Amino acid sequence: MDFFIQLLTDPVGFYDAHQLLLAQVGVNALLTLSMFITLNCGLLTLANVGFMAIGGYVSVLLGLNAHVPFPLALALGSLAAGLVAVPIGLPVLRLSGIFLAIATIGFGQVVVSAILNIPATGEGVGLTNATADPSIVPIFASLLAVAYALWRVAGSRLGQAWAAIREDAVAASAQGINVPRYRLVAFVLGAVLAGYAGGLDAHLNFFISPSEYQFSRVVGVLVFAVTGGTSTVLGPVVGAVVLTSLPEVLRFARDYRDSINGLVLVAVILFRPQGIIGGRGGRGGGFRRLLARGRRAVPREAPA
Amino acid sequence: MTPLIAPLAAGTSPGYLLQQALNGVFNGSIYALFAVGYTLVFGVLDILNLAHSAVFMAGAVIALVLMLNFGLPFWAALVLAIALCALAGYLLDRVAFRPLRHRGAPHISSMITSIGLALVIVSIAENRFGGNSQRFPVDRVPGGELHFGGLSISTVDIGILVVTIALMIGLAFMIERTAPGRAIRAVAENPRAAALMGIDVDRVIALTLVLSSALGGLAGILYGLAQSDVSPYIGRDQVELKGLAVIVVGGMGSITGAVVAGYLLGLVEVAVLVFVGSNARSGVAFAVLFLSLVLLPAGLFGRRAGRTT
Amino acid sequence: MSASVLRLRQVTRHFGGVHAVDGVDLDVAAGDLYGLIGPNGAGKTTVIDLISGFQPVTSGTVEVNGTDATHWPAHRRASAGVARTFQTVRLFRTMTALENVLVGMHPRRRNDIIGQVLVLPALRREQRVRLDEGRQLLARVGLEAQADRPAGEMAYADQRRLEIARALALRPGLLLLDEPAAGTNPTEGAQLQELLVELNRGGLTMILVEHHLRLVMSTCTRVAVLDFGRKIADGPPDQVVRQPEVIEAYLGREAAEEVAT
Repeated sequence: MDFFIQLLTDPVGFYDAHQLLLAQVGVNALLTLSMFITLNCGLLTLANVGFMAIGGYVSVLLGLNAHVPFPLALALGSLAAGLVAVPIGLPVLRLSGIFLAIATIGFGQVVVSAILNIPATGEGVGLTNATADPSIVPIFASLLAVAYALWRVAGSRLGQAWAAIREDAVAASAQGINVPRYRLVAFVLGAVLAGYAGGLDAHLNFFISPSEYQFSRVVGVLVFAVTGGTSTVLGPVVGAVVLTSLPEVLRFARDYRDSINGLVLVAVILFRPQGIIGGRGGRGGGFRRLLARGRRAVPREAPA
Repeated sequence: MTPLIAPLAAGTSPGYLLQQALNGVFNGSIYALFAVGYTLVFGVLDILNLAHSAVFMAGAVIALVLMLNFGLPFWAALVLAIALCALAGYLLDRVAFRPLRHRGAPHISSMITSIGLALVIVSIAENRFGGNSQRFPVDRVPGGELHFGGLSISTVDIGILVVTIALMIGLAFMIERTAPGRAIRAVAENPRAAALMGIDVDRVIALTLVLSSALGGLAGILYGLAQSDVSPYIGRDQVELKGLAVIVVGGMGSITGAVVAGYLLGLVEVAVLVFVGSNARSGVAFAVLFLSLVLLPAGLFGRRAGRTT
Repeated sequence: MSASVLRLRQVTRHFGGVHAVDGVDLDVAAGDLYGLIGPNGAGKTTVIDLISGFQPVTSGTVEVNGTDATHWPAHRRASAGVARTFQTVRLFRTMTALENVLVGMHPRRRNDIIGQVLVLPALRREQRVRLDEGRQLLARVGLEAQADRPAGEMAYADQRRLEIARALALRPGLLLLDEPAAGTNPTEGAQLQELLVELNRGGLTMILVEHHLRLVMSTCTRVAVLDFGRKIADGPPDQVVRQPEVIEAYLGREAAEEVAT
């Protein structure tokens, strides 16, 4: 309760006390939106943490070694993530369902291994980031811009194609939609956004190391997305905000943070599969459709 | 990240290579044992049970707690811990899988509920056991080393190898020859047809999870013994993802494939360790995983391709 | 003779050792309502898949409007005006009927992502034009009252109609219908048949897959008969039914001999 009382009565004190938490909420919301982009076109890819690592390391290394100013370094970091996503996405997006999920998990781990083997990254030890700045303004400005753009995209030709692919990829291609290309676009845009969030995240901390980019991190992002619901842009943001701040709000629960996240996840899937923000009158949107496809995303037509 | 294989002094003498090859086989045993339970559930349910690594961890943690806090002798702790893991498998099915199955929910939802329960199990272990790595008390568990020429082999490793092989033969026999095994195969093939034949599908699935989780728990205990490392985190990331690589390379759902790929991964890892270096090793499993999905989506022994159009 | 809309030459599709489709030639001219019939397993749906690009040919060529389309992917053929429906309905189930039809306009909609983010007024006008056209298409198949219903909640026969409306949104030069009356009752089937005849009179070229002889005989301008992946007859319906091979394929050898004597 103190949490909310302070938020209302003493916003400045609240901000000082919880600045890092707020920053993390924003970064997690951006990461969850990066997963929303791919989920929204029917792809369960878990490579986000790998792209996040690329964005984080590239932007920090550019700042440290070439003194590139942060906004430019951030842009180049996300660009690097997007560039890597193209050759990865081309072969991997031919897989579907669980196999796509597994392959992208594998990619995330390959990135971590690569960091461990490239001397410039400080390998397992990590890097000290002297230019770190836990300011939340760029984070929330980005979050607003990204959420707005994704909201508007839903009504565009691109958004329409994604929605159709999510619902039924076979029927979508029968309507003239180039399914592989739109999937690649989603994968690459998701990577760019994950790289961007990774750059912001790395900029928050005075120290980054490969251990921050483990599988459990991307699982956390998936939990945010599923819990919030993925039929609207609001869902992933709400999921990230609620679950990131829950352990702070319920202080006693901090030791059991993962237990609570886990139980929330199970409860949501069992009792509200469309997520907290259901959308479309409870008909269930993105994630539910994706779930319904499973691994046979494109069933073979039986020869008649 | 705990290295599974301690790099020995550099040099590639035949004795060193043989020693490393043996290490590869021993590690492979644990990968195989872990992956068999993983792949069994996938084969029957088409579900990726991501709580398997948490059950693996729970096996080791429970066995150690039973020994340290309840004073049980090793063998009793082993049996009781495996039984508790089997029970966890049963509960996993009741809470995370069965309700979704009855609702006809898609398989990825079950994967997500299994992630949820994995978080719960690991978090409970963290709070009750603490985050530090502990080890089985050396004087109360089987141990010792055998020496052949220049090779030193721990009896635990030999025990693991023997147990793994015996269990694999036993499991193969059970699946192929016994009535419950036939029921498992029937459900794996086609649950609806199995139900029409009078098989209680829910019971068979519960049995599969019990079996898989017992194997997973045992694998965790053996890992804890062999690596002298028991903590809430032993199932995370490395073991879980290597297990994933093993079942993908072996062909999802194939028990033979999981065993072969488990040993293969153990050997490939030591080969990379010897010929490339220790830093490269950690990426091997995932590079193999990634390539095998892209190039060989059905795996070595796969029944079904995961690739579409 | 009017212009060729579709030309298949020696089109073949093998699955392992099975010849699902074996050396089929087919010439569809503008305005045809071409019936494709045959017993179950004759390869009818496979032919539709080969024409629409959902399966690759093992050998042979597919020409659309005089252009070689053999190696075009499905979405490119759809954009070129080869529309299709599916044997089991495949709608975008959580979208409304109107939204389903709008997806069919995808190939001729311009890329508007920047404009959408900037909320350009021109786009709003374009969207209004699309919505009007979508409602007209729904009206054409008799679904104007259900425009805002989610497709997944509609009655089955209405879903069949909606699938046709969505295909029409492509402004197709050729519409492939894979058993459009499957799963409907006789009344609904007759209404669907009426709709198809009407669309054909309006100038739409169609290929209609059916295994009900009667429906095909009364509607189609030409008929091709498939059996075990081979074309065994082709021509006007009244001639095709009299061929002994067709009778044999449908009724068995004895019946064929009986008719012959």
